[in-house]
Amino acid sequence: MGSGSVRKPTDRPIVRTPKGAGGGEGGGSQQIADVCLPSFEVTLEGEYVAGKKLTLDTTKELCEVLLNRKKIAVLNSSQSLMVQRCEAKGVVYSGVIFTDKKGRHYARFHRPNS
Amino acid sequence: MLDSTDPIRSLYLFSQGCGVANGSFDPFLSVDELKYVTKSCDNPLCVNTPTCQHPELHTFLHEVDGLDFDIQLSNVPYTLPGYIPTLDYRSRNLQNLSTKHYPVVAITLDDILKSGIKMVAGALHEQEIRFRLTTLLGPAFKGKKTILFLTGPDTLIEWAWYMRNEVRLFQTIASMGFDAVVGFNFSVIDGECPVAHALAQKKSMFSNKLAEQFGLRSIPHIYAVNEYHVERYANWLNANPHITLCAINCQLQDKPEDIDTLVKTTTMLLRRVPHLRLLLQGFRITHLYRFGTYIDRIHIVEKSPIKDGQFGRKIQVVPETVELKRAWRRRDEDNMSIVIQNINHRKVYYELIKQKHATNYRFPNALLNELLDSKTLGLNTVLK
Repeated sequence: MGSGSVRKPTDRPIVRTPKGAGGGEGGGSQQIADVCLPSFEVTLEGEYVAGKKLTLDTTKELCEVLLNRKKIAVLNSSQSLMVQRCEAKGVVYSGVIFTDKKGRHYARFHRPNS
Repeated sequence: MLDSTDPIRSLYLFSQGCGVANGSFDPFLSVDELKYVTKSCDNPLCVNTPTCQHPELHTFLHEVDGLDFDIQLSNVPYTLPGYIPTLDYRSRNLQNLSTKHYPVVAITLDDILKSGIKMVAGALHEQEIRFRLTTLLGPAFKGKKTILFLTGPDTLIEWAWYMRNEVRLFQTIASMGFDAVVGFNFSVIDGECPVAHALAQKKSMFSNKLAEQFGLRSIPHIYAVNEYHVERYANWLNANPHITLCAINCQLQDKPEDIDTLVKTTTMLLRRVPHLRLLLQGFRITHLYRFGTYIDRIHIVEKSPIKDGQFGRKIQVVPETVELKRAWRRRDEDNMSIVIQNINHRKVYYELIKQKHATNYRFPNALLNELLDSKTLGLNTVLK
């Protein structure tokens, strides 16, 4: 994207190992980039404070979204499967409450930045 | 070197073993480059860039024939105007963009794609790459030469690079009618791993080579954030004096310290390579004067007058004081007219700054008046 001193938080791709020449196909970062989405979100019911940190309980079949250890939402089956597969590869999503311009709240999760 | 100055920093940053420090990348990287490292090279997921710690680094290096700046390009001397507007997909329909004043325009990769990335839940995601093959058929491009800048967010350019063979990237670009293509702008972020920097620079240079193989005129892209980078580019350019034109994407440099670095490294490069001219893409034009007499070797390539116009923001130059002013459009003005006005006024600003600082340069008054006279260009609005 550029040169400078900072990277944009919205622009954090996993760089895939080059194809061919004996490298890449199905390598570690390859699989992670293809399996683990950069971000996802679920809609929250009720009132929340934007910016509060969230965690995931991945031990359940449908992963639970936790705020201060209290369940506030549940991921759907495809999100849960992805989160669990990614956790097995060492990719742990971090979450935060996001509020849009219309005042709707979301539990938003991102891949790690390194 | 670092042990003697800051052992704690050294322990934190280089405790896992640093290939640059132990000379693994000699002679392409200097051990002295480590003094600029402020961020850990520990990046197991390979986010944004591979570093010296990546277990498959050899594969990344092999892809671009190593870190040596040994790429041969047959870039022929190429004369370009000083000011080049960058159009986007929306502005392809501009009717009144004068070919006389703007014989060359630019466009970026994002604007020739129907899809490639999308913003989801606060982050850019990759998606299927599909081209807008008829972009250059828009009236704004008619009769003009168009330069394609392979610039954009990391998510897009890394994805396009990775998928280049599957989507026939260079073949498709070559078929679309571009006059030239600027190499990919793989990120070089201050403070990060020197190997990541060198790899990004070589990858960009390698993309020029691939573009040439498909018959495209190819302009190298330069990212230099310290004197070691300048040295590498200067040595390469001086060994290849037929390469007289390079480009620098400046869009991320909006913090004062980043602009300082850009001005410093760009000036160093122009001093070291007397035959070089530079296309500065997205440079903060009000800082242009800082290049002093080197200004006559700098071309401005920018999209901001178009973006401003699309949002109804007017840019007006005050020729007497060589200043830029901004205002919101009046009700009787349409955004398309504002876009043309903005481009013209920014060009006048560029020419006046150049006239002030460059040796023996004079922008003809007749052209200046034409650019500031809306009637000459057939606009349906009268400037104040």
